[in-house]
Amino acid sequence: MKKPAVWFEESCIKCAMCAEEASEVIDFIETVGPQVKEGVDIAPHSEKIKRAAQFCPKDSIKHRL
Amino acid sequence: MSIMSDAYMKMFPMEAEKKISAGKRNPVLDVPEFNRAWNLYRDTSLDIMKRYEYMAQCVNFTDKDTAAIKESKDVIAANLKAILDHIYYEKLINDPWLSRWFRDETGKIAKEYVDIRRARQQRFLLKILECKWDEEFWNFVRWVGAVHVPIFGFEDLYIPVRLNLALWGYIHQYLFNLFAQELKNDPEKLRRITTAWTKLFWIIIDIYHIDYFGPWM
Repeated sequence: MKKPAVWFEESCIKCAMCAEEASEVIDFIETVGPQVKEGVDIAPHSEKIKRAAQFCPKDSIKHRL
Repeated sequence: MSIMSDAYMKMFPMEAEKKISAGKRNPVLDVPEFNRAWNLYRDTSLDIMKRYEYMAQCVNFTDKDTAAIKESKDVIAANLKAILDHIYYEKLINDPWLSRWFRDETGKIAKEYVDIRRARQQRFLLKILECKWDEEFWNFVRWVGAVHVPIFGFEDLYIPVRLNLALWGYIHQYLFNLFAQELKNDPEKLRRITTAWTKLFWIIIDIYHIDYFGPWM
């Protein structure tokens, strides 16, 4: 089974909502956009990541959970 | 009276006199109901769940209303894009005052920013439709209001209360017209849903503005 992962597509408009919804996993850097926090265990936060993806206005959040 | 209090009164005779405030004495202070009201005021200022519970009880927002909000999901979900487009692309960016916050430094509408704000509004509506009236939800509502004042949002951002009320009022009437259109064949359902949303709007408007005012306002 592959390791859980989260990534962002180029369509992201940097609204930062994903970092608000799943702050345990996602950082928002103004100049870069959303970033997955280094070394964080994604699996326990899968519900929050799904929620962040649901609210993403551009469907830019992709995940394997 | 104890010996100690007797001695105290002799030292400070003015303390033995009946207390009368500088103005007219307020008889309310003497009745237990005042303490109940004071506790309510204090608790609803400090505890957001108590604030919600008190407001819900005042406007009679019950489980039946929650059920009615859930019932309205189908209508809203089917029209979500149109509702948001209408609020943002018809109203906000065309209103001479409201649109001020959606323009770039050249005065043109900042489309990408409008998209971001529209997405945030969508999240707000979706969270309402989840009908989880818990601390997390009400803190979210409070936070959304708070970021419209300079303390918690951007330093140069202050959205006047009248504009918040104007937009909430606009959304209110837009949703109600939508419900009236979609539910015209079921007047009882229409009554349930519009009643529930009216109550909810008032509670949201109260909590949204917590950080706009001192708690006594």
